[in-house]
Amino acid sequence: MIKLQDIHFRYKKNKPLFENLNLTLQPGFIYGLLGKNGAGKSSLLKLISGMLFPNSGASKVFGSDASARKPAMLQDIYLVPEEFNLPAISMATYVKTTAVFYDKFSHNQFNAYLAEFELTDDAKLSTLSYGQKKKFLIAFGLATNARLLILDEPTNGLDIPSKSQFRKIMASALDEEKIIIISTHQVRDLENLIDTIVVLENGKIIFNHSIAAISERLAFEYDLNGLPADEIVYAEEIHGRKAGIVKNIAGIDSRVDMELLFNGIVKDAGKVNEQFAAFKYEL
Amino acid sequence: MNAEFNLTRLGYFIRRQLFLNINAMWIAIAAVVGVLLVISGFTAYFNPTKIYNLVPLYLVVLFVGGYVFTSKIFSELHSPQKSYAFLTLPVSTSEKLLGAWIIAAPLYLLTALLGATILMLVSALVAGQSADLPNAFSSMQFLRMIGSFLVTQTFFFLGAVAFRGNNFMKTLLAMFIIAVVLVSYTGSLGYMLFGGRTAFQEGDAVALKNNMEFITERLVPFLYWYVLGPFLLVVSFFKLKERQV
Repeated sequence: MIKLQDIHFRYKKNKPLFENLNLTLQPGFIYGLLGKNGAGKSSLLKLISGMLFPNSGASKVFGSDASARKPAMLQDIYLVPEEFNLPAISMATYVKTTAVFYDKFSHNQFNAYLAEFELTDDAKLSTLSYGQKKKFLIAFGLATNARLLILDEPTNGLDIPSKSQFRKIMASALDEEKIIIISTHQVRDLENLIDTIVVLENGKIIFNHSIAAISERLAFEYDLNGLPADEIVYAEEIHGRKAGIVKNIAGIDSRVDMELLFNGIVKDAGKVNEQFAAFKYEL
Repeated sequence: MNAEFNLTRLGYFIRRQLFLNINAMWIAIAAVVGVLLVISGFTAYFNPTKIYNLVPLYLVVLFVGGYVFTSKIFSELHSPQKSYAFLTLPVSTSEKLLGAWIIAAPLYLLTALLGATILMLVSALVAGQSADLPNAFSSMQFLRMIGSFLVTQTFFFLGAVAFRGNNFMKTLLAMFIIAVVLVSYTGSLGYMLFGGRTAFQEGDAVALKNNMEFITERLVPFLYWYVLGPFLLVVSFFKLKERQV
């Protein structure tokens, strides 16, 4: 389990980014961390992985203090950042020199992921495209069998077939011990993949609900004409029509439109959250 | 493999660092050896009786090269696109610090001294004086120089952790500022104490001489040889432990 407790954090000379931030992430789920540019997504991921230290509060990863960066804890974390620079060595050399630090690293799994991503391990990392490098890091991260996998904008740079390969691999990689956090702007890439949506805005978690709860409480309509105004939670113009989020009065679970939901939350989080009043959640 | 310090993991870390930087190291070694080989060859050919003058040159290159190399030992930490890999690598701070120091100090020294020996051997062979070769590197003065390198190198080691980018130049600047501050402080103190000579009485000169002898002959050498290096390494440890992206 990951537990962020009363986190206060600020970059030097800047105003506070996080104030009294609380968040609990449970194993067995894929979390989608959404937010606009500058909302604090990457900083939050860095706090969780021990790359940044909170000014006060505690960031616990499977019971260990993240900022202590103990080897035992770091073996259970793998981070694929949005921007990275890989050394000018072959994939095989990278694996040979880095996999030894992860006790649960599986070469069989790694080779299977590489095959799925259509990569070969004799290629030099510096000669790969950005998307191929990203696929290599994702494959490596999954093969470490770390219990916490953090992916910052994983679908940036991936072509369309690779995005579906990514979704397939991620869905198969999850087990009851693992926590996967995916931070992204490209919300459509995460559809049918994530279990819980966490939305960050100005350093605050303004939404934190499971997809199951969302589809139970909300419905996504692409033509709101004729619907009573009190049922509409959020509305926007799409291709000349009014689309939006409505209360799920019928109680029939429907597909969650992540983009509409995100826009609705950013526009008026309070109104969206009202629909979950009976639910217990952390804000 | 989960203890705070593990020798196997330390070995893996040293291997990783060497593999990741091997290309840059080979280029640097080839460039330095190439230049020294040309200088040594010319000296041995045109001035065969003075090839042992090459030893100070080798030492200067060894010192400066070592400081520059040490300053770059944590270069992965200073690039935002690389530092995540270093900071999240499942290796403890003590292992990262010791591994980096082993590469930058004993391993570097062994490689550099081996290179210098080979260069000296080639020069001596060209000059026809190979029989005297061992004397060049075995003097007490030479060993003290190597010891001095191990001590002074720790300044650059701390600079490699503490500064973000241009570590060598920033460390030099920091050392210069520290030296200026120390000299100004001691100079001002001396002037305040003895400048007016009003409180200076007979007998004071002997006490002062004894004190100064104790400071310069005992205290300073002790601090230099046994305290300074370990102290700077301890400070480096805490700087590395507190390092964030």
